[in-house]
Amino acid sequence: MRKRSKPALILSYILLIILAYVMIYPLLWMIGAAFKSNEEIFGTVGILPKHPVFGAFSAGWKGTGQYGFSRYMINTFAMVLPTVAFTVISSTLVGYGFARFQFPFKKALFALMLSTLMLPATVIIIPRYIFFKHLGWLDSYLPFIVPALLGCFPFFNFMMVQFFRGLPLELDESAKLDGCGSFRILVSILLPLCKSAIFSVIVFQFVWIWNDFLNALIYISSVAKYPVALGLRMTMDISTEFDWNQILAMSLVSILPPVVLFFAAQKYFVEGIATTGMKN
Amino acid sequence: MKKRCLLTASILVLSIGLVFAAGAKESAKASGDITLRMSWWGGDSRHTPTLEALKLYNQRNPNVKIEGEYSGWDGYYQKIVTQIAGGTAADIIQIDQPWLNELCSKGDVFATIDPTVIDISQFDQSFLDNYCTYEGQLKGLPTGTNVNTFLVDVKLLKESGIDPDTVWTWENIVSEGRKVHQKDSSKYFSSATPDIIRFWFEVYMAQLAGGVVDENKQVLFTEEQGTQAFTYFKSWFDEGIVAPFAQTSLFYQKFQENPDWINGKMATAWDWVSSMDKDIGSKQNIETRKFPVMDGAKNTGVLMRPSQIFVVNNNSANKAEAMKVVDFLFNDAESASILGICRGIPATSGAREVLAAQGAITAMAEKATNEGISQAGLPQSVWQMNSEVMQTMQDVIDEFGYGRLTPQQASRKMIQSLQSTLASL
Amino acid sequence: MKRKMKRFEGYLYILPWLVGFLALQFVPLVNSLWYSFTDFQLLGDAKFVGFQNYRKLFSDPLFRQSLMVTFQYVLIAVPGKIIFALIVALILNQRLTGINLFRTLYYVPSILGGSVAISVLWKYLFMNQGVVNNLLAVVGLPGQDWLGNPNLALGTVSLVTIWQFGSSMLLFLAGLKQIPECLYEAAEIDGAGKLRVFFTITMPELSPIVLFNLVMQMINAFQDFTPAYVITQGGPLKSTYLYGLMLYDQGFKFFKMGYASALSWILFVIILFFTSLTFKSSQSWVHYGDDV
Repeated sequence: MRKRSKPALILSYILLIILAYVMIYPLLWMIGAAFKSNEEIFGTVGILPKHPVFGAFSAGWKGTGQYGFSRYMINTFAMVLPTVAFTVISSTLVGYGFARFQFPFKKALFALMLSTLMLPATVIIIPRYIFFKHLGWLDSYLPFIVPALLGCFPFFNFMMVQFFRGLPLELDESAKLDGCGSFRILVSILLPLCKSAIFSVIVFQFVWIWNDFLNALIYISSVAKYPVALGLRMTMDISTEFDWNQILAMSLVSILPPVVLFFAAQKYFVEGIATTGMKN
Repeated sequence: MKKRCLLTASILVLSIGLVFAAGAKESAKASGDITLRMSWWGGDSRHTPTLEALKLYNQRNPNVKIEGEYSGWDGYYQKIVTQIAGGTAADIIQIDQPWLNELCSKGDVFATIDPTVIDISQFDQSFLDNYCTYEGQLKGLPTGTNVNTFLVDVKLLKESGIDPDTVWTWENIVSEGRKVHQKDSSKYFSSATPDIIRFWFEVYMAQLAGGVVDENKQVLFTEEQGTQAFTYFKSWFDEGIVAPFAQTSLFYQKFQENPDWINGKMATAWDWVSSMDKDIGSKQNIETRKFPVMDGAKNTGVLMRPSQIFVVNNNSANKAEAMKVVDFLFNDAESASILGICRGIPATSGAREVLAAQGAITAMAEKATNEGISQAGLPQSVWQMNSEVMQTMQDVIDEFGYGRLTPQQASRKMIQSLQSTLASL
Repeated sequence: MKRKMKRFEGYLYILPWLVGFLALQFVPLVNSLWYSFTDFQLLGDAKFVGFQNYRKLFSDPLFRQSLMVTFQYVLIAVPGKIIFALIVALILNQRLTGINLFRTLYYVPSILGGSVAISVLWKYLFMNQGVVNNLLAVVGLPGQDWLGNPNLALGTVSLVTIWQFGSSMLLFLAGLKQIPECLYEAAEIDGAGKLRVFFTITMPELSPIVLFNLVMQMINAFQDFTPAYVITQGGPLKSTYLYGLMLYDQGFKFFKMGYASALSWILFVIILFFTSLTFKSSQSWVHYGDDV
């Protein structure tokens, strides 16, 4: 790695720390607020609770009505994991197809794929809901999982296209000369070089599906199947009183899995092409 | 490499398994058994008793199981609308009062209440006629009675040199109320946010002209009357009765989250009895008062409406059984005792007696409700409650509140905008 | 035979999406196009009304207002987010101790996403006696009604979007990792300066990701409504009334699904136009590894 001068290093750190504070202020605030009463949350400014109240975590975890928060967590995993796995597989295949092959109507199909992202979801909700009803998918996680399986998240397809296209074509050429088929090239040559891209797919899709409130709201009607995004808002009402600290406490708990995933999988970002690449 | 393949394969298998597990339909139930669905929104204090009451029904009628589909407020309306559009709505649905007309006008979505199944004798008939009826047919039943109330912070009034027992008039709100801001410029008499200024405007207009919009889609007030109203409310801003919109607009529909209200810097609030407890929170020294009424008022403008309405889905395969459940929820003494005031003060006399005997209704809520009922005016027309009409009023009031329109311009613009909105409905 | 197979081999890989598009996306899409020519009100039947919805749109002052607001929003939020994400990614790409932690911290806002906490928190940061004004007071600057002043609100709301730059940052980081180290080594031997290295190696190598971020952020920003919805509800004085918000109001608040569908298809055309423009221009500035 290139060397850095000491003042530049210190400056980097100062910048990083200031920015880090701005970025995680909300998180710190949420942690503080989990120990505040409603009045203190809304009536005061600042992070530390002046009159701490405890029990928000346990009360929130116990949940309301028939199910506890653990149920919502398990549900969310059941919904998110297959969706993420399928997204990785389908976006890799579709991305590879668009990035490395020439075929009739390729440009038109690619444009078509991207254009499906350009129509606002608001007007698609009802037709899609009715369509999924006919397929018998309502009140299940299929409206999330099947589109992932069938590559209907063009964001990720396009993303993989861009990463594949960033890789030099010589890699493929030389493998072809060695007699590798296209699938073999994908799996053993290109994929190892795209680790960080695949990791991005996993993290993004995990976080998005994990947090997806609107679609879960529309498609899941049984409380027994609620994911956390719905579970979190279970008790938030306009007229009856509810404890914000419980909701914020559970918000914190619910972001733990994505944060842990991110932190744990980070090493794929540190490994560049230099350490894994060319040797293969 | 092999390891990775194995891992990928196992994830694949696992996922496919999950897909089918999720997609699998529940096995058929024994014949004669009925499963009903009921959806409502609320908080913990509503979910728990409602589930308990539904369980009690199941104990008494073992062949009927009722699944609660309960959630918070966020997105509830959108979900109900989507479900109705998709023909998948629950058998029994809790809706907000203004939705009854909006939804009924789009199609025959709710079943007409069958008085032979549900005993409606304990409801106030005019209440049903005014709020639960669409084109002459009873489409739902009110879960509770909700009225407007005027909250005052007795301590802050005293500190500002105002007699806390003042009987409020439109004039003394200005002449007395200004003392709050005069004494301490960070304090205000009213906690009104832009949406609440709209409510006040509607109260004023009800008294001055009978209302804003009538049943025949006509604007009820003249330009002079509009100018008079806006001139009056301009004095609220000029005299520091109410904080500038630039400060309050971010608490739109959530005045109770304004730290100035929480920290006792705002002396009064326009409110509904149903949300009063939540809005007061742990604030002390709050009491309820009657609303100002001008001499010769055509209508007090004080609203009394159902806190929510229970409706039966017209698409339901078990309408008769659903009606029975609704009857149970309203008229059964044990159910009334379980449900308590989780949907406001019950609208049936029987349930009110049960709760009164238990002491479940607080003195404050009782006083506020009685004051409200004694002052209650005529119901607003369905057009005045239309969401697009409300938005039209709000837009003009926002411009006025930001000082972009003089009272006369505001009056003229509101009449014009309302007319064009009404014409498009 | 074999050559023919080759010609269609790509189809094999894009098959999942092709099936998905035809089976899942096509029908709802066509439906919404049909609705845009009807008076569909969510419930009941839809009646064909020809171009009435499209004609109405051009005389609707809210349409113009929300379009203006949306263009401003796109112009602030998209470049803001991308430039910010790029700078941070460049800093984070260094081998500094504790960099893993910083990377995670910077991604946190994106994980928080539409968390219920955000709407509450943002108000407390930017209200009259809020955190930001308190900070300004320390420095001796006058406070502002960041969300209450119609001239400032959109900028403040855009900040939330920019603040969630984590995803773009991650992609830049992933892209930076893909740049072969040997390119830098070669440049070092040539004695190239830092700026030159950045413009001759880093930027061209990263350009496919820049294009991706630009296109996706643009597509998203045109349709965005969450930040405005949860923080300002489009106010004050419609100054944050994003197009997506208007769509939502028309469709789910006023039940004018036919009109909302027409609004959507107009937006579709607008986004398509700007995306195509971006792709066209990209031919001159995006460098792919498969360029021969």
